[in-house]
Amino acid sequence: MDETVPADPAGASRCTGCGEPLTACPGCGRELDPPRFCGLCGTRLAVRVSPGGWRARCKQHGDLV
Amino acid sequence: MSDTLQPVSLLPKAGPATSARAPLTAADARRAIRSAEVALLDDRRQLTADELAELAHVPDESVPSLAAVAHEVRLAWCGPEVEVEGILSAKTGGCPEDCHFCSQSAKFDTPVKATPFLDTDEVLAAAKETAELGASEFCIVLAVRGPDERTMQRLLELVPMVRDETGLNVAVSAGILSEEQARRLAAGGVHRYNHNLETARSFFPKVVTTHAWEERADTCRLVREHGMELCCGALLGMGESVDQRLELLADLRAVDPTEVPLNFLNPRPGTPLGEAPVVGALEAIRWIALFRLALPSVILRYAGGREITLRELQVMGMTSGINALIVGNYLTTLGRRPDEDLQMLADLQMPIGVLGKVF
Repeated sequence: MDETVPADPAGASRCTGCGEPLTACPGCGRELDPPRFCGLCGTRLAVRVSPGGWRARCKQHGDLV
Repeated sequence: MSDTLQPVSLLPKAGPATSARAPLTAADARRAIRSAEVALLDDRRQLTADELAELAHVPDESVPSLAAVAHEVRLAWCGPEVEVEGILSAKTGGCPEDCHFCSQSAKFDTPVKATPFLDTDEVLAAAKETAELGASEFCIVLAVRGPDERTMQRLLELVPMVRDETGLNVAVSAGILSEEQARRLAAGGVHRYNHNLETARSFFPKVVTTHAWEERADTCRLVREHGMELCCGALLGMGESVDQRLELLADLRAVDPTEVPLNFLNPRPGTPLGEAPVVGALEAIRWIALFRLALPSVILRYAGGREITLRELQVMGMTSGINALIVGNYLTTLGRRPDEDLQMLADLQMPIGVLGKVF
């Protein structure tokens, strides 16, 4: 398991806005929204937003940056 | 078919607030704006409800003139300083309330995953980020109906720790308070307590059904009675009418806040207002100006939704009555880059400072 993976990793198959396969949703995440679903597996992310940044964690894939 | 250029719409059409009253003529608008200027700058008196209602109906072409007077009022009543604040969602999602605009309500199927109260180290790290951005205020926000005893203990532990380690004033937003809780938070060093009215009393039941407007007003009263500064905000763009926005201004005057954070609806997926149109940029400027003219001495803070609502007019808002802003990100959404805001303030030659209410 990767400890840190890009929020929009190469090979992503899921929309980070809704978690659906990219074949069903090409990307509904809005411009000023952090990712809410893992781009690799579609799992809902635990997201912490702070004044200077955000951190998202997938149960399967670890921290996303 | 004509081959001349036709106007095209590039963005979703904004939904203006409805009003039964027609816009003023240009001449009447000039007279109303001049009258407001004399009242607030020369006579130093508050505008009446009728005067505010008239100003709410100046035509769009007169909005820049309205904004210019609001800026003069802000300078005369509050000074040139701008207060900068950072906010942190320390406990996200899972809220039992059904505020129809909020992605953190457990009543709606939104993409926001509930997460427990952050560790002390995470809160401190966010406060330090805030201090490094030049802010003077840091608000710890919790998605709860009100604080339970465990939450109270955490807050009372965190507030002095954040203040002592960062030098920031610490604000808290933790929902509806009992008298005892208000007393303890004040004694524990909470500088400012945030509890928004959000909208007019007559519109509130359309957007919240799990608690009453009066419960919010009661908490606002307790905050002031126990010596904390009251931060009491508004959210525009939920379908309220012009008259209801004017009613909200009267409601805000009655609770007498030190600070009014002014939010514009950023429609959140999965909420009942998820597909609502955003407030138009010029309409937002009109209401920023009206908030300043109605509440001349408050700290009027840019809050959520300004990026999508105002876009390139964010700088104009700073010269329409705003004298504070939330820097960086919001609770669950991102803001524009802090350096963009700080550059905007530098370009406007607006100094960053700590503000308190002018009495």
